[in-house]
Amino acid sequence: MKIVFTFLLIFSLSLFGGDFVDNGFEDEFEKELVSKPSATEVFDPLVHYNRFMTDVNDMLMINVVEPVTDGYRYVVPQVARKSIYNLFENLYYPVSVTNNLLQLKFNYSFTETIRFLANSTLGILGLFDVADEWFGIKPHKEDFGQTLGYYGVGSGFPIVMPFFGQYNIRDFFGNITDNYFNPTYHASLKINDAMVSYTVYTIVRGYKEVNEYSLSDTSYEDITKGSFDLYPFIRDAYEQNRNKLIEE
Amino acid sequence: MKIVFSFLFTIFLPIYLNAQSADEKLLFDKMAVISNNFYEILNDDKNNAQMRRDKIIKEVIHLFDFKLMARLSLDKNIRHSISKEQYKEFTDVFEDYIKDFYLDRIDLLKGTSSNVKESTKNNKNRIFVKATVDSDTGSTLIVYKFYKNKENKWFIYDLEIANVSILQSYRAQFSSYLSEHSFDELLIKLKKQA
Repeated sequence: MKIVFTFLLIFSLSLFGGDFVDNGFEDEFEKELVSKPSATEVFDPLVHYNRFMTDVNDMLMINVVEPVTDGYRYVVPQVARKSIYNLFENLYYPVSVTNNLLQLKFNYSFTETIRFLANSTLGILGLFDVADEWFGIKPHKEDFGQTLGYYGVGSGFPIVMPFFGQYNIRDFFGNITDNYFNPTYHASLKINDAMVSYTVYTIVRGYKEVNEYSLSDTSYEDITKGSFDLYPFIRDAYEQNRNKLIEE
Repeated sequence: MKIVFSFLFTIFLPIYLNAQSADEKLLFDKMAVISNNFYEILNDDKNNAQMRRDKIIKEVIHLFDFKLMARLSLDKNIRHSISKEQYKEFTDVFEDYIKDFYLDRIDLLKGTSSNVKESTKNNKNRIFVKATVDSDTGSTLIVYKFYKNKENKWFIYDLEIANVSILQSYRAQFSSYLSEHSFDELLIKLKKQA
């Protein structure tokens, strides 16, 4: 009978106790904070270049992209910018459906296909996202970096690209692979001169980024103002977000 | 003996499960009400910036355990390598730093709305409440991470905004900074930015 009571006591305490011991209380949170792959120990052999390029990009964002975007917002109405955004998203379909298929996400491959068909026809060549607005079919974008992550490929070391910002090696190569599925890339290849072709493609991608940024409610400065140290702030935010997207 | 265990199991399990779901529902409802009040204050044109800040402090700030956030923003190895005095000084400075960071950004939410979506219990002392902040141009997922203190009260110890944990972000920044600087230099920089 004693054993039953002892068991009962332990059982009840474990269910209803829940008291923290103050000594080492913070350590209880360590597991969930340390287990994240983006945690604090980062292999970053390009750290000096990355810091430099982050500062260059920071200066570009504040002194060039921000005023250009303000002007762009003033000239182009929001509805037009949203349509341009939808158009680029619709052109992304081959990349997204391929990567959904590669990750065996057949349901999302199907919904991405329905979205593409609906938006290309009823949505007038993708200018309107009728799939979401009329039928409630949400996008499930995937890229090759996510596909590699899905199959367990680690992120590798971080690398900061001029203007386009933070990447890691896995996503950098994933991005190059995605280009081969992107119609915008193939359209630019029609230009005979390779240098001009690459420049045009880069400008189109830059324009896409600026257009997308113009639709954001929060400015770059609002986001980065609270950072203690800019480069690790951006690097970690990028990794956390990518890890979450891969998990999903 | 089997009968005793079955009896106990049948009695205690529903009480336990009920207590669990009660906590989740309690926080879900609480966040829905607070979110509603928050947006009423934010979108009331009669409030100027200072009034908004004061009213929101009254409405929201008691939910956060900023002191714990400050303590957790340093990883275990760093916490164990500094003196008690340094630790206390850091938590005092960072508590104000993160409080101001949060309050200074409240006006950015003007013109948006929020929907509390779900609450999930991760273990007996952690509940995550998910909400979206919606605007004309899209919606952002926010996860409020609650822990239960020894008085059985729930407090937010971390926020995840668009997949990025605030706590994790500061831990990464402080660790990176400390790989090249001393803790005293970190304190000086933090005080300058606060």
